[in-house]
Amino acid sequence: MSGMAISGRPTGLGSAALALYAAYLVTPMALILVGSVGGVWSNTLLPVGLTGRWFETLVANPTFQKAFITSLWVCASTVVVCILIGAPLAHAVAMAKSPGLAMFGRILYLTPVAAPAVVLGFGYMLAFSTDALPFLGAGWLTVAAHVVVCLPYFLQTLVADLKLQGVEALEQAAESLGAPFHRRFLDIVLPGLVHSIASASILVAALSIGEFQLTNLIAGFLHRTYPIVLLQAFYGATGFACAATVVLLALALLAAIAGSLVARGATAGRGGVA
Amino acid sequence: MTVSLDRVSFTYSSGGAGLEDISLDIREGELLAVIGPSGCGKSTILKLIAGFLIPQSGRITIGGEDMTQVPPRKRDLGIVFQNYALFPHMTLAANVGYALKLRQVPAAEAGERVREALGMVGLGHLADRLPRSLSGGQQQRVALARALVFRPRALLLDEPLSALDATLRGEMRDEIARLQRLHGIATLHITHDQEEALSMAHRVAVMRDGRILQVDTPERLYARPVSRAVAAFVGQANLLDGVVIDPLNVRTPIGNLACGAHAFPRGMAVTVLIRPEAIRPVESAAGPNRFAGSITRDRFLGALRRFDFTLANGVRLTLETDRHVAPPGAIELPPAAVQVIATGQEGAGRSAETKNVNPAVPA
Repeated sequence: MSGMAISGRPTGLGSAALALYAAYLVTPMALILVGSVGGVWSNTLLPVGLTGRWFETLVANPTFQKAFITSLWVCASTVVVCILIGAPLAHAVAMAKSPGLAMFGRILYLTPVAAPAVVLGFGYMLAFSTDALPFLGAGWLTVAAHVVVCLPYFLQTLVADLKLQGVEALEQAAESLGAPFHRRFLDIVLPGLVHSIASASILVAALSIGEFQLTNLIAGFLHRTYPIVLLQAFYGATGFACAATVVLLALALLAAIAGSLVARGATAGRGGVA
Repeated sequence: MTVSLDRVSFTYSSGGAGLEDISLDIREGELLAVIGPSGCGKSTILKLIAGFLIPQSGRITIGGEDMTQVPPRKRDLGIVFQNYALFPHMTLAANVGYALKLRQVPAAEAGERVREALGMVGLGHLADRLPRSLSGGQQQRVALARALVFRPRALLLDEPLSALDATLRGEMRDEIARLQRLHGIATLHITHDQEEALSMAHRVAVMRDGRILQVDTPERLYARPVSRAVAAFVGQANLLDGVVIDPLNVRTPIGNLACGAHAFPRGMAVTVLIRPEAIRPVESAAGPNRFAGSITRDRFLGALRRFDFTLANGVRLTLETDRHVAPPGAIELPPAAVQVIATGQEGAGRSAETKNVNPAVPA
């Protein structure tokens, strides 16, 4: 109750906390935005002058171009693999009758907490840098690693939606009408998951685009993603670093807006019951 | 087609109450209702017939064909689920036509049958709507049309009216009964609402603790329950412990009652059942089966009035009258209305735990 009145309006303390949080969230982003179009920024609170040259330099930079494209295809591949693996897996977990499968689902959900990205990264370095498995630096390994990181979030969204829909009863109804498993999955389960797959895919895309810890450890020189090369930008001009960060920020914002729109669409699509 | 369960037993792996040695027939054209308290196993019967559960022992046949191990999709049974389970992304026409699509019925014929089925439940004009735009009663009708359109071998109704309000429930009872008789299809109706069961079914099975206590017509079930548990569960009942004195008298906590006890030997412990509506208010307590007392509770129920009448020795009886007149100080239990039931193991001493029982107990 602290910070919120019964009516739902924030109290004075709540308003102050909210303002502080917003300031802490918005200020760095605002400074990056300002810095990306600022001329010279050295030992002053704000940059001096206005310029678009940092973005011009960024667009002309082949390393950043390649990293951007790599990030896009890694992200797209991660989303596709998550959908292909995640949809049937979410269905299996949601319908799990055996305690073993239910436990598997719970463990999978906890993966991001139990095994942080940096831990996974070290594991991959050990596993895939041997002569037997010399795959460290391969693009597909980066995709696989992103899938491991993103799949729990994808699954959480889908399993929650499946349970909300009461998919077990729907499947029983379809089965009683004569539908075999593949027809139930394709005709009943998947169409009901369209909104949550879209929503979860956007979440996965946002996570994959911004993933740094794990990728930094396993991506080779040929398949560096945008966040990896972004780190280099901070060793150069501040304006350039800010412009490079703005691109990543824009992608994240786009994903957030798209996710919000999809979620609203899903709510409307179910008659307001979400 | 007749649906039969032959000595079927089922136990849940979680240890939940299952079924024990159930034998039951749902005859061609018959609507058989199964009632019983929560957890008695009535929904388990439906799941076993539907094929969602497989019994540990016994046999399930449909039209004489052994279906015990056959998967649900090959049983050809129409099922109406408690929450309707309409496919939310499909129009009503697509919902109803789904079974026909799976059976590869030609499009023209399927379209005609869907129109006919929706028309049958009065929703032909809403064929292109999505289920979420319908009321509960309309969704229920669609679920019925969907369950019947492919001409199933039997119909299973899993508490289909429990989510509806009282007015709609009454309408849907008549609608389901009409459609069932129209199709002449063997129908199993699971419900916890005894009024629903008694008003719709040709026969009613009463269950408790995974066993069937009695299967009978609604009239016989009410008038001639075979055990104390059935008497307690079906309708309102005053139940008294008794001992047979002679073929015409039973000793009870309220005194000796004149009644027909010919079927029981002298000295046998029995249960005496008196339905509340059979008790008559009288002016004087003089005479056999008459008792003095006073009203200790008065409930106005619209069409009738229900009183708790406490006798001088503290035993409380419930009586009902449509005359809305309280007894002036005495009641009569007409000998013909006093039923004597063998005190079986399943009912003895436990009927007071049953939800609808009105045991005659010391006040």
